[in-house]
Amino acid sequence: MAKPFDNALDWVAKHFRKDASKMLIWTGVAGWALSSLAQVGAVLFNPKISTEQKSFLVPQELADAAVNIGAFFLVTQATKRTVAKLFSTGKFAPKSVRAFLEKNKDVYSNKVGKLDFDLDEILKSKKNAGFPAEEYYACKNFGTTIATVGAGVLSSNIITPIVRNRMAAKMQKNYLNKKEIETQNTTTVYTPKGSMRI
Amino acid sequence: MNIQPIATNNISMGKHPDKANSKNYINRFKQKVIDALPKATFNDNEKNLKRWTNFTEKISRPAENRFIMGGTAIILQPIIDATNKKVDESTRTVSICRTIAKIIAGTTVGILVRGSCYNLVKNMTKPEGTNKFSKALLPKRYTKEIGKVEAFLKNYRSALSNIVAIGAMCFTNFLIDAPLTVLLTNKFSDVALQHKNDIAKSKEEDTHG
Repeated sequence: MAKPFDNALDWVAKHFRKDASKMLIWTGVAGWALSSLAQVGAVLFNPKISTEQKSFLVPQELADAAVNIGAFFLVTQATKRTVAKLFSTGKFAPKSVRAFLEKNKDVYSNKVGKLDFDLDEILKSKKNAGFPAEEYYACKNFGTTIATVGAGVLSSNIITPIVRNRMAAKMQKNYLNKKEIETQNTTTVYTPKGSMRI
Repeated sequence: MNIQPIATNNISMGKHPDKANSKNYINRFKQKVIDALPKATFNDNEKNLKRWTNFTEKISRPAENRFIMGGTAIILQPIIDATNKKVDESTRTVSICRTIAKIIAGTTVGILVRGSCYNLVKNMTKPEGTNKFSKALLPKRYTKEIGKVEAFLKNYRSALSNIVAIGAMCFTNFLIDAPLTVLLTNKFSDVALQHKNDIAKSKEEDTHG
C-alpha cells in the first residue's frame, strides 16, 4: 500500500519541482473542470428548474465549461511555452547566463535565439559545469510563472466571459425561436376542423 | 531574419510529408516570434534573485493564486456582463448577479480549501522535521535534492497541495460552492429587483408630485 503512495509523491516531485508554472496550468484545468461539473450538477438537481429549462441550461453550462477550460488551457499553455522558449534559447537571460554565453561565444554566439538551442539541455552536460543554473532557473521560473498567471487572468476573466456571453445570447435566441415555433404549431393543432392551414 | 533550415530527413524517416510540412510551418512561425522580440538581460543580483524566488513561490501557492484569479474576476467579469447588449435588461441583471455570486462562492471556498491544504502539506513536508508526521509527504526519491534546493521544495509543496485541494474540491464544489452560488444569485437578484422597483417608484412619485 505504501509503494503506490510513495510512487505518487515521487511523480509529483519529478514533474513539478523545477517548474511551478506547469503545475499551475494542469491544476487550473482540473479545478475549472470540477467547478463546471458542480455548476452543471446544481442545475441538473435543482427541483425548482423544469425539465424543459434544464434541457436548455445544461448544454449552456457545458458550453460555458468547454470555452472556459479550452481557452484557459490553450492561452496559458501557449504563453507559458513561448516565454519558456525565450529563456531556453537565451533570448531572455539573467546577467550571469549572458556572461556565460559571452565567455563561450565561440560555441554559442550563433545559437542564441535559435529554436533548436536549449539551455536546459546544456545544463545536463557535464562539460558546462560553470553554468549559473540557480540564476537561470530562478529567472526562468519567475518569467514563466508571471506569464502563466497573466494568461490565466486574460483567458478566464476576459476571453471566456466575452465568448460565453455571445454563445449564451445565441443559444437563448435559438431557444426562444424554437419555443415560438412550438407555440404556433400547438395553436395549429387546436384549430377547428375545416380551417385548413397552408 | 533567423529562419530554421527545413529538416530534409523527415520524409525518409517515414513521416507523412504533410505532417512534416506543417511542423516546419509551426517551427518557422515560432522562430519568427522569437526573432520579433528584442534580446533582454535581467539583473540577477542577490536581492533580485531572492525577490524572484519569493514572488514565484507566493503566486504559485494555491490560495494566493486563487485570490489573484478571484480578485481580477470580480473587477472584470461583472463589467463584461453589464456591457453585453445582446441580451435584454432583465437577463443582463440576472447574469451579473450570477457572475458575482459564482465568483464570491468559488473564490471564498477555493481560498479556504487550498489554504488549508497548503498548510497541511507544509507541515508534513519538512526535511529537517523531527516528529513522524513532519516527513510523511516528502518524496522518497527526491528528498535529498528537495532538501538542498529551497525553490524545489516550495514548488513541490505548491504542486502537492494543489492536487490535494482538487481532491477536496470534489466534495466542496458540490456541497458548498454550487448551493452557495444559487443562494447568493437569488439574494443578489432580489436586491437588484428591489432597487429597480424603488427607482421606478421614486420616478413615478416625482412625476405625480
